[in-house]
Amino acid sequence: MISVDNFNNGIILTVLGLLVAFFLLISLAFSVYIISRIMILGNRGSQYLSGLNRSKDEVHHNKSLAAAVAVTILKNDRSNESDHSGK
Amino acid sequence: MVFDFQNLFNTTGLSVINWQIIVMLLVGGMFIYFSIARDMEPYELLPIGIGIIIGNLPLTGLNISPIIAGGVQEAGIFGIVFHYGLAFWNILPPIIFLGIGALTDFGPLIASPKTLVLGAAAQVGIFIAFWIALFWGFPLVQAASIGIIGGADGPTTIFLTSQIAPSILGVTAVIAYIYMALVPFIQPPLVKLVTTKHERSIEMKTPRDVGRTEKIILPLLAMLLIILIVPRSAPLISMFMIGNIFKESGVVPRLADAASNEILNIATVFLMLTIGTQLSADSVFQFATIKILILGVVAFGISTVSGVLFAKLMNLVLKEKINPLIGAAGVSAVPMAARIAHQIAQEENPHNYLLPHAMAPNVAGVIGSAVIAGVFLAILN
Repeated sequence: MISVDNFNNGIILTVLGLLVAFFLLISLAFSVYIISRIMILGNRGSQYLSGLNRSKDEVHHNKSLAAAVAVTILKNDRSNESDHSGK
Repeated sequence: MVFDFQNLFNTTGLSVINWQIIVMLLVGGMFIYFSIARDMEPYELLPIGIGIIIGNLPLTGLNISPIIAGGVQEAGIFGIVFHYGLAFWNILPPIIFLGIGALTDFGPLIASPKTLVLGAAAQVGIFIAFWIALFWGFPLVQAASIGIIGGADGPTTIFLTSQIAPSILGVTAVIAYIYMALVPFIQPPLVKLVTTKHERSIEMKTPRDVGRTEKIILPLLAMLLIILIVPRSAPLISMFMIGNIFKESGVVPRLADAASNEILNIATVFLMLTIGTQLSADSVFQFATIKILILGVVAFGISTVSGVLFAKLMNLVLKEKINPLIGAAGVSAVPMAARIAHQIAQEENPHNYLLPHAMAPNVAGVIGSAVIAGVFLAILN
């Protein structure tokens, strides 16, 4: 037959053991979830920012391209004008 | 001259051999047979089987402890390994955990953190077996050691038992490894008993890819959290997480390789051989051993069922249902329990790839049983 001491110690072991195991693993799960969310949001944020930078670069590139095209057109116009005047 | 022959005969093992020793030699032979012919946990059962045979051969002195020996060169190799590796320093189980950590992938667990809870739920069998053992007349410390077999984690069982109940170390360790080897026979009928065909067919979404940063943060975070709350679990938990950080950091591949290969293998050789040698005929042929054998399977069975039932309970509140089979993987027999859950799922639905999902509670089970061992140690030692 089980002694009173063993019974009491058994209760303490059982309650504490289960409580601590569940508490730790639930806390760990919760922490992992929070960190995962932060990491996912961080990745999305950095993707968004890199997209934003890309679009800025594109605008800059387009402006440069437009300027280059404009200069070429102007040059062509001038040369055409001079050709006409020469004829 | 006749006297001399008698003297010579008395120095041989034949003079003291008895039927118990012969039975133990046959048991060792069976272990060797099952490990080689049936490929059942060969890395554990083969050295344990050899250990049983050499440990039971009489008059070898292999098991003499350096404490008992009293003189120089009188202790046996397995007595020395047992004393310094387990009873006195207890360094072999943490070294095994270092290797297991270096082999573990926390990816599935990070992708589905809710399954971590199953690692705690599948430890219920530990406490049921603990109570049965108490009512069966075992002392408190021995009941705790017998209960921990339900965690299905050999190193944890050895780690705890060698500190609180070293007299039953050989028996509990061998029983823990026997049941780990018998996972493919014990778990499927129990799992099928408590689940429906529909539940076993549930398909789970493919887990997301987990980045390296998350894989490095988790072991660090788990180590801090668990050791702060249960410091006595530190030898196992810290080594497990250190091994994992070696692997995931990617900057120390030689250390990760050494931990998961050479170090793990060397520790396994000495741990398993020594455990086998501790299974002497004197300790086995007792009614208590048969009780431990029964309690071990009770602990293991209830842990399996409680993991599955908890997974079913979680399904009542979860939007995305989980396959309850992964609850059975919450016992920490890594990776066997996860593979069994996967195989049962594929029997119902060949397209169901459950292995990555089952690995998450499987790894959580390793942590769960080590935490409970830490709680036992904190209170009992």
